[in-house]
Amino acid sequence: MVIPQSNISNKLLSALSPASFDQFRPHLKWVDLPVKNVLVSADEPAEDIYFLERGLASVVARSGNDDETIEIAHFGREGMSAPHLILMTDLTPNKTFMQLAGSGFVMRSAVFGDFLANDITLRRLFLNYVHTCELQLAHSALANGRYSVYERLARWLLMVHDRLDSDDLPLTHEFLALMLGVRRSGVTEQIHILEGGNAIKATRGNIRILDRERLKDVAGGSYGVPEREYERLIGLQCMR
Amino acid sequence: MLAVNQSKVRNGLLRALSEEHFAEFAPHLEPIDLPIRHVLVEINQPTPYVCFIESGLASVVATSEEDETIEVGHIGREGITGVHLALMAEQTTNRTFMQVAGSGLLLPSSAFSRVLNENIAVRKLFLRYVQTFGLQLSQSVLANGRYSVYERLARWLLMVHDRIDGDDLPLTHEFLGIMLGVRRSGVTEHIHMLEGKRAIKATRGNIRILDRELLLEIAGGCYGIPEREYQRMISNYIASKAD
Repeated sequence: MVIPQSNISNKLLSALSPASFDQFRPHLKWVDLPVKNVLVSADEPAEDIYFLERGLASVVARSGNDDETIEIAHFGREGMSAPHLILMTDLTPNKTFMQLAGSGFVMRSAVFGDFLANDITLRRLFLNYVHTCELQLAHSALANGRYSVYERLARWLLMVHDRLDSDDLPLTHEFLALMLGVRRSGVTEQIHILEGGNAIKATRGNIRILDRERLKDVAGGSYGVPEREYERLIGLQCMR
Repeated sequence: MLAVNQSKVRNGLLRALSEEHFAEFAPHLEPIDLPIRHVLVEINQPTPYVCFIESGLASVVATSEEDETIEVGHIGREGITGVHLALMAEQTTNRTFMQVAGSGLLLPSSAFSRVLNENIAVRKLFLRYVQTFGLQLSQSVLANGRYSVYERLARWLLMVHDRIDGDDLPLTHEFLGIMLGVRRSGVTEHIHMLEGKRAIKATRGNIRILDRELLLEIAGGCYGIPEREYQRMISNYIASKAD
């Protein structure tokens, strides 16, 4: 499969040097990624890694006794699955699955690992990417601890919007509640307030982003820092 | 400067290194006293050192641009400060400072990066530590989103207890409030509840752990995964208190 690097949507693959991309190319296979498709299973080896082109994947942590789950991170075309492999770790307790259907490139983890071991420039790019993931986690912890559901919802909508091409986010209130770790009724209320402020328009199973600036006002300091660091380190824009 | 002796160091990562690899770090390690509030990693500035904590406890605090803060991770003698240096990022947006006074061994970031780049086994050890630290962040997201202040306080006390010597945590309620991102009055209330259950004894500026088992019960599922992974991948260093 001959794909020019300029046609690639995935930002990490786009950021590779042409020589590195040529190395990767024969090992990249295009795949369709439907909703709920599991990219990483908890506590199981990840044989493949995925570079998303379209769609959104959620990373979910569960508690030690399996009682509670919450989305702790998500990625789209700016990222890849199984960053623990970049950290030379075999297993992760967190699960990753497609939340919004899409597509991407799959590569064998072992091949990827070999490339990283032998090329420091390549390694730097992917290690820096892991750093941006950790910053996203830190700010999610900050958002969950210090910001209201209203603010966290705005933050989350901005982050999802960054990762998709359309202004339409095909999400239900129930799903949003799961992702934010709150009751569905609480989310519905906050969605209506955002609608009242004309930041979004919510119809059945869909949220359309109308006014990003307004959402940024609401999210305040809970949004933006990890996105700026991504741009600084990876060299490509992450925010829309 | 006297080279540091591996058998005398207390830091879990330094102890986990082979003799040969420890020898690569040894000439560059500088002992340092770490008083309370000493900043080890400042935000948005190149980080000149990693610090192998020997005693005491460092806090990693996430900061928003509006100066909202919350603690997102702990580093004791099982770890190092400045993990972003292992990720080849020169700076970070999280601040790290000492929460419980102690001591450590400083290593210049240039020496640290060089040894990691030249030795895949050393790199693997430190990257796996970064993974366990990332799991602390993941569990903080979970804890802050799904667990009560009471449960989060129990989790927090357990994590501090894991990383320092003895059962006494020299901390004020105010400090705890800042770390948990809640009002001091909320902290005081929950400390009293834990005292009522005889899980801890709180005196002025100190919290003594009395009943770890009870704290484990209260924290429930929001405590333990990062520690378990550290034990699985690095050593049972953190688990030594639990046994």
